[in-house]
Amino acid sequence: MVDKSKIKVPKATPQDLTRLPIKLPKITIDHNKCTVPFWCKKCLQVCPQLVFQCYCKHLEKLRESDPRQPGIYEVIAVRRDKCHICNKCVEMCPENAITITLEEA
Amino acid sequence: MCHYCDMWGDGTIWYLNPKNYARHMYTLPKEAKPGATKAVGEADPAGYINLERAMVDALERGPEEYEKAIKFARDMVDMTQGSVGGWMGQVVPLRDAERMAEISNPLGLIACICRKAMLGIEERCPENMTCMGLGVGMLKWERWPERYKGGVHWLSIEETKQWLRDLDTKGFVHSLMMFGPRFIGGICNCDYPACDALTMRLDHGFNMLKGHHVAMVDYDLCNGCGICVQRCQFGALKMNVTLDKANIDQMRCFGCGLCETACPRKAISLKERSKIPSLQEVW
Repeated sequence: MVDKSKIKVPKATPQDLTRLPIKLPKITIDHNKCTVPFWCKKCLQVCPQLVFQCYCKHLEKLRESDPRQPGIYEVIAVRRDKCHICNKCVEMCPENAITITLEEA
Repeated sequence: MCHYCDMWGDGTIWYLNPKNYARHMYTLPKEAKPGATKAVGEADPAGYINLERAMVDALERGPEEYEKAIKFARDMVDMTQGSVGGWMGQVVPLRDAERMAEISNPLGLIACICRKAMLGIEERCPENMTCMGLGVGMLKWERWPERYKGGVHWLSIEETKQWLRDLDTKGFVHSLMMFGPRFIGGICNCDYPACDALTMRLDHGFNMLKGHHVAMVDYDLCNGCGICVQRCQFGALKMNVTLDKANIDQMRCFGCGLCETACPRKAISLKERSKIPSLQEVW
């Protein structure tokens, strides 16, 4: 058995820490309006920076999920640091569920 | 030699050691403890996304909080995947990916889950069948059918190599994936913004180790055609306008070998990282 404490693990090289903290746009998605995101997925397709991610919320053993069933999938804004507020997702959303705000620093 | 070679290599590169492909996966499912929502290691549908979201949220709160979020993510990955230091993948060049296909069995292709999540590509789309599964984990499909929804495309060794070469021609970076301690379970073929693992590495600095090679340009052979420049996913390859030749920043090079396979004049070659003193510790 190898002693893990003696192994030299590479260090992380994260983003430029001198720039932090930074102000990121706040993206809210109304999940009451957006019920079938993987069936619609217009925001995923239109975003040039891939800010959104869609995942299966109710993962069940031994069963496939149906993307047309409401509430199974959920879309969330993950990479907000990449968003440059082009508002394409806001214009494209058929349910008007997305709002983007940028607070003053 | 990376730290996984030290631990699990047995004197060779760790992903060429057949021991790292063997694991008994057909254990009986563990009973959940009373009160616990999920057993450790069980798939949490939003687990990985929440780690990424926590890191992005920490950018707003300052450098200390950001480093704390990264440390938490590394610890979580270590706990659930059995990795060390949060590194659960490594970039491999095409030739090593082909050798990996010779070691493990069975081999199959499934739909890429990153591209499904980021771009909304359906599982049944044939262009999305790029996630190459190695080993007995591929037989686990009936337990989580959601992950294997588009079906499994089973491959022989020769077919796997052909698929890898085709994906390489398209311009996808190959990287191995760990699923649990000392178990290599797949080859990811993806590109920068769509692949969650590559994005985590390039934006937040963890999750994916650099490969065991770095690319070098032979200036006598390079004629500056620029075919390789569009292949680099890591921002290491630029056109040196003054000389009209390709130029590789070796501190940024991940050793994926896409530039090598694209070069029509064989001007780019892969050198071993361990033979270059200044790059030995750059992972």
